[in-house]
Amino acid sequence: MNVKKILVVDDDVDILNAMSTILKSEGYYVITANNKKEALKLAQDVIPHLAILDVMMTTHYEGFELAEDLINDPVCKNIPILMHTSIEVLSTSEASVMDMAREFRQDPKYRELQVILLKNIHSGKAGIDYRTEDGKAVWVPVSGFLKKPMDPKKLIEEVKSLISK
Amino acid sequence: MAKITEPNNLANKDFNKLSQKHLFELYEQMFGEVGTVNVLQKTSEVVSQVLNAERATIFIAIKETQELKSVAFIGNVSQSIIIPINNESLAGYCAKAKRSFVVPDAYGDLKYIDPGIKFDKSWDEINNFRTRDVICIPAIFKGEVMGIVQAINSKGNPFHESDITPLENISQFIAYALYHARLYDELATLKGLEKEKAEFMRVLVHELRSPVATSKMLISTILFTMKEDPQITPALNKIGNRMDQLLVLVEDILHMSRIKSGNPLGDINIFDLVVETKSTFEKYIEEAGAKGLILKIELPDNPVQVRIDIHGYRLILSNLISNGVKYTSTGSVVVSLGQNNNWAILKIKDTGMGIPKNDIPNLFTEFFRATNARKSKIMGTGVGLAGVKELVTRFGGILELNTEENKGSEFIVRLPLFSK
Repeated sequence: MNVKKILVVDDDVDILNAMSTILKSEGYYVITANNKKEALKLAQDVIPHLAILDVMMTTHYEGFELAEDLINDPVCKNIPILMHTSIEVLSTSEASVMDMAREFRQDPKYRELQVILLKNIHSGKAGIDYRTEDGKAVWVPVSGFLKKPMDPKKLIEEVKSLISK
Repeated sequence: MAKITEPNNLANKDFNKLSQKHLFELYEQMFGEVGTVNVLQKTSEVVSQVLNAERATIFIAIKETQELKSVAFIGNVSQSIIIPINNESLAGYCAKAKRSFVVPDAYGDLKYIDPGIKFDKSWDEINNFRTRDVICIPAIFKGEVMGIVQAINSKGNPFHESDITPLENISQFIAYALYHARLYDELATLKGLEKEKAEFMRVLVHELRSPVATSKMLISTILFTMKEDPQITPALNKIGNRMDQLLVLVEDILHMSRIKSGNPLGDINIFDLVVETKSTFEKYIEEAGAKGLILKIELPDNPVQVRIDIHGYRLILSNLISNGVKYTSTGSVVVSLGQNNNWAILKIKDTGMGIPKNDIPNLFTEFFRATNARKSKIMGTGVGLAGVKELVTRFGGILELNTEENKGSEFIVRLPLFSK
C-alpha cells in the first residue's frame, strides 16, 4: 500500500480534527487516539509511518511515556516520533544530544527544570530529558518537535521530511 | 546545648562577674540560631540557666497585632503562647510600659508596680504550675521593644531589684537576636511569596496560552484548507494576527516574570557578542524589508567578549531591534556594536517616532507606553523596555537613551567587557 499512515495522539479533539484535516488534505491516512493506552494498541496494530504526540494528556508527561513505550516496543521501535509541544526547544551543535542533555543537567540553572527538549542544529537529532514524579531522569530520543500553535505549512514540512527518511 | 562553665547559681549575683568566655558562649548560643522559634527557644534556655530559674520565657513583639508571641517547650512538645500587649499580664505590661520590674509573688499585691496591672493565671492553671517570683525585662533595640525577657521562680534566692541592671545588659543582646530572627522570618516569607508568584504566573500563562494557541491553530487550519474567499479570508487572517499578538503578550508577561524572579534565563558564560548580535539581527531583516526600512548592522572585526546570560542578551537585543522596526515608518534602523575601554557598546538607532520628553522618566516602568506609541495603534505591551532595563542593570551595564519626537531614538547599551 502506497498511502502513508500517521498516528496523531492528543486529548484535545479540536487539535485531532485540525491535524487530521490538514494531513488528509495532503493525502495521508490518519488515525487518532486520545491517550497513551489507546495509542499504543493502535500503533502496534497499524504500525504507522509517523506518530505525532501531544505531551500533557491525562497525566503530565503522558506523551513522553508513550514515546518511551513506542521505542521499547519491538514492533513500534522504528516509528519516527514528532512531539507536539509548547515547551521551548534548546538547540545544540554537540554531536550527542543525550550527552548534551546530561551536561545541561549538571548545570545548576537547568537542574531544576522538569523537562529539557534538545535538538542538534546540524543533524536534526532530538530528544527529551525529563524527570518523572519520583525524581528519576529519563532520556527519550525522538525525531523532532512541532511547536504549538502548529502551523499547517510547518506540519506538512516536518511530516514530509520525517516520512521520506 | 553547650554547658556553661560558670557556677549556675547566679541569681542575685553580680552579672558583671560573668567571664568573657562565658558571655561569648551565651552570645554564640543566642546568635547561632535562625528563625524566631529557634531563637526564642535558645535564648530562653540561656536565660533560665544564667538566672538559675525554673522557667524563662522570651517573647517576641508582633508590631502589626500588638501581641507578644512565644513558644514554650514542655519536654519535646512546643506550645505557642500569644498574649496582647496590655495590662492583663506581667509580660504584656512590661512591653506596654517599656519598664523592667521584679515581682516577689505573682499572686500577691501588684499595685505598687502599677494600679492597673494583673497577673494572668491561665498558663499556671493549664500546666498545673505555681508562679512565685518573676523578673520581667523589655528587650529594646533602636528604641523599639523587640520582645520581653521573663524569668520565673528563682531556684536560689528570690529575684531582687539588683538583678535588673545586669539582666537588662543581656537583654540588649537578646533584642539584637530577636531583631535578626524577625528579619530572617520576613525574608523567608518574602522568598516563599516570590516562589508562589512565579508558580502562579507560570500556571496563569499556560492556562491563557493554551486556548489561544488552539484557536490560532484552528484558524490556520481553516485558512490552509478553504478556498480563498475575498470576504472571509482577510477577516480570518486578521483574527489570526490578533491571536498572535495575544500570544506575544502572554509570552512577554512570562518573560518579565522570569526576569523578575532573578533566575538565569539561559546559559551564563563568556560570549562573543559579535556572533550573537549578528544572528539576532538577521531575524528582523524580513520584517524591516516588508516595511521598506533600511536595516543595517555595523560589527567590529574582533570578538567582543562579555560574560552574560545569553538568553538575557538576546532579549535585550531583540526588544530594542523590534521596537526600532515597529516604531519606524520610514528610514532606517541601524544596529552597531563596538568596544571602548572596558565596555562593549551596543547601539540601536532608528529614524522613528521618537519618545516625547515627558514620557522618558516612565519609559522603563512595566506596562508603560509612550503617549505617541499608544496613539499610533501599534500593538505593544509596555513590558519590553522594563525587561531590557532590568537585564542591562543585572549584568552591571548602563542603558542610555537619546531621543527626539518625530526624529528618532537611539538606545545605547554598555556592558562590562570580560577581562581575564
